[in-house]
Amino acid sequence: MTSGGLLRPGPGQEPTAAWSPACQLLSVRDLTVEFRNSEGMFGRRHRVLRALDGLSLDLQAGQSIAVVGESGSGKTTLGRVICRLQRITAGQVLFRGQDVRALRGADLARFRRSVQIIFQDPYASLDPRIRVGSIIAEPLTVNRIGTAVERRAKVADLLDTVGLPRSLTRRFPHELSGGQRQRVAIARALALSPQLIIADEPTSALDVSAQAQVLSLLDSLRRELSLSLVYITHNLPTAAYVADRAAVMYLGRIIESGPVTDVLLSPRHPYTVALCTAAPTLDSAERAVARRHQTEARGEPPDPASPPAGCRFHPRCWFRPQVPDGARCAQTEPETRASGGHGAACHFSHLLQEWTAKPGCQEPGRGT
Amino acid sequence: MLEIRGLKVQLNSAHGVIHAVNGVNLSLARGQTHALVGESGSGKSVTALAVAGLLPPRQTTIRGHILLDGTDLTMLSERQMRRIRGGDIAMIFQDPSAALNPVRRVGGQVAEALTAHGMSRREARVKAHGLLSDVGLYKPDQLARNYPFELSGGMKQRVVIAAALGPRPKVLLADEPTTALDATIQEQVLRLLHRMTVDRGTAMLLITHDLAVAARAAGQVSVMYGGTIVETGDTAAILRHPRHPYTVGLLGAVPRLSRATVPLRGVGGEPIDSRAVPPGCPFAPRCQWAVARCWTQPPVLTPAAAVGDETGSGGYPHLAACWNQVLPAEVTVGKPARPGFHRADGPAGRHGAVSAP
Repeated sequence: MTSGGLLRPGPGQEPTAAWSPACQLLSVRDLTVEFRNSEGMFGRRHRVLRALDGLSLDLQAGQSIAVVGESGSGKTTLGRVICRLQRITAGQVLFRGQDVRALRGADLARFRRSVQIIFQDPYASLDPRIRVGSIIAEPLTVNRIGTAVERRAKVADLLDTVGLPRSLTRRFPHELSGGQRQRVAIARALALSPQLIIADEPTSALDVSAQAQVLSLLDSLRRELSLSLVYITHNLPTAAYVADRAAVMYLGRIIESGPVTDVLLSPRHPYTVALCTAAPTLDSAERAVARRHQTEARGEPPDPASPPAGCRFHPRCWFRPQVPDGARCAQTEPETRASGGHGAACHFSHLLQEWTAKPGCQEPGRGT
Repeated sequence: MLEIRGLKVQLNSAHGVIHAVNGVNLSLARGQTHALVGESGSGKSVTALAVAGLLPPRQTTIRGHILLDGTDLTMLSERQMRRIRGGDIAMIFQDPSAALNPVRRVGGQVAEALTAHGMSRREARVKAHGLLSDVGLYKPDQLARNYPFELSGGMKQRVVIAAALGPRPKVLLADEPTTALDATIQEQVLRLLHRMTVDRGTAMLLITHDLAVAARAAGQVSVMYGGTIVETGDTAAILRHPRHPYTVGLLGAVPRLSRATVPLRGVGGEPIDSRAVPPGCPFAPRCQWAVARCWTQPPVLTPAAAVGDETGSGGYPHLAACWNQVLPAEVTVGKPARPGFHRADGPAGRHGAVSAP
């Protein structure tokens, strides 16, 4: 890290009266987001799709969380809500103790500077007609920070920070590879020294080797700049590289959360087990376990507009045939049971833990 | 069944000639799955497009031979090629939404692939329903009446697979077939492709940037870099004993649950600009193992020195194009560990001047 300027608190970081660093940086309370779709002739019928359904989440300053789930789980909606890019139906999002929805004027401007987002597709998120230097300087220009000369110096610093040569300043996005573009997007997000960065599938559009570079960059940034990161992904194995905690989402709810290595290596929800074993892996031992035990989510995720009754995962659950009272899964919605900061919403997570601990059956995530 | 010999493809663009493929040799037998692995720009997709005859003829120069059961596809006219495409050679692409016509029902689209190759309409419709059920779609008669937008990504890709495998092709070219899908669905689709190709004796050329996908689905792997195959062999041999530094880099880039605490390594640097073909090894500028010779002389595929238990396991030779092959002990650390090895840093080291450690 070369820039002293980057490490100094930015304009959005002086503590407000209501907030002290001991509080949660981000706190999401019973968040519900609904979308109404018009159907039928002239849109007379309405269908309500509940993308987020009473979701709660806390994040301490300097901590990072990975939000993992399939498409349709609501993970992207969650990211957008945190950035105030999406309206809330019910519930609250608190950033530094303040209700994000109530922010106005200077407070809102400060919030906008402290929370930045990196999108999935760096081919779409960078304006093709603007040079890299101007793209990275744009947040500074918009917020009227610094003189042109200072901005140019800051851009050079930011390029160093994300590991790109300064010579790229005059280039256009189309001259860059996917990995380089995503690093430009990261540099732009860092320009205002934010406290929280939402990274929405930042590596899904990239090659495996570019993904490795971007993940290690995000990891070193969050450590060196004490940033908080909300890392949204469908690829569970990548979570551990950039996050301290993981939250697994299914149909608008968090079904398991805890320290990232606990969630990955000793999952307590059958869906998490399925995600662990579904990810292609190089460890032959892991492959063997997956094949032997068929710990696979069956079929497709259900329509989020009409989620199944009881446990939302029960129609696809591979573990249900093995539990004594499978009918319960279809009837009552499981509560989240937690111990040691690691919780899962499954009636039979204690049985799942026994099952994974059985001899001859390694814990699903663990190779040799 | 399919044999590619000395394939070279040049794309003539407004920005100059792009040397996309520079001498690729590959053979594929019945029921086999062979993976072509590499970063974007490595030439893997262009190789597949050349086999399918889908490159724009005016902007491309193709040299070498592509033999399908002895017939050289590069010699065929566009009309003859049309008969083979979709019939003997089928393709699946990354984005199933782009492969399907949004304003036609999916059943009709699967049937079209059959009627185009000489089946009657009525017969094709019945067969199409059978195919939709073969690819694991529930209630195929109802589903056939749906439009693509009514299906999820995984279901659409299943429809595309049904349409591709309907005419019983000899070769299936699958270009990143699961990259756009969720992990749980990806696993289902890979399993489906495996079952369908083995059952029908179809040879599959699987193109992917993810070595983990290749490991799961393919019997043999060829790693491509800068338009050439830099390492090829049985999947197990390549995973256990990679000999080319690029393969080692790719393996280090794959996230693993069991090693989440070990930082990802990846391949340093950026992919090469395929407008300028370097005189030596295309990977040399990014390579930690590079020696003086790498900058001047292009390496050729040579048998990898046999290590451990891989010898004769699958009968497919393990070859690597590298002047300074990686030793097994160096794979885990990801850099040269032999005594006395000093990296020849850049073309400066060409004349034997090695930089001090």
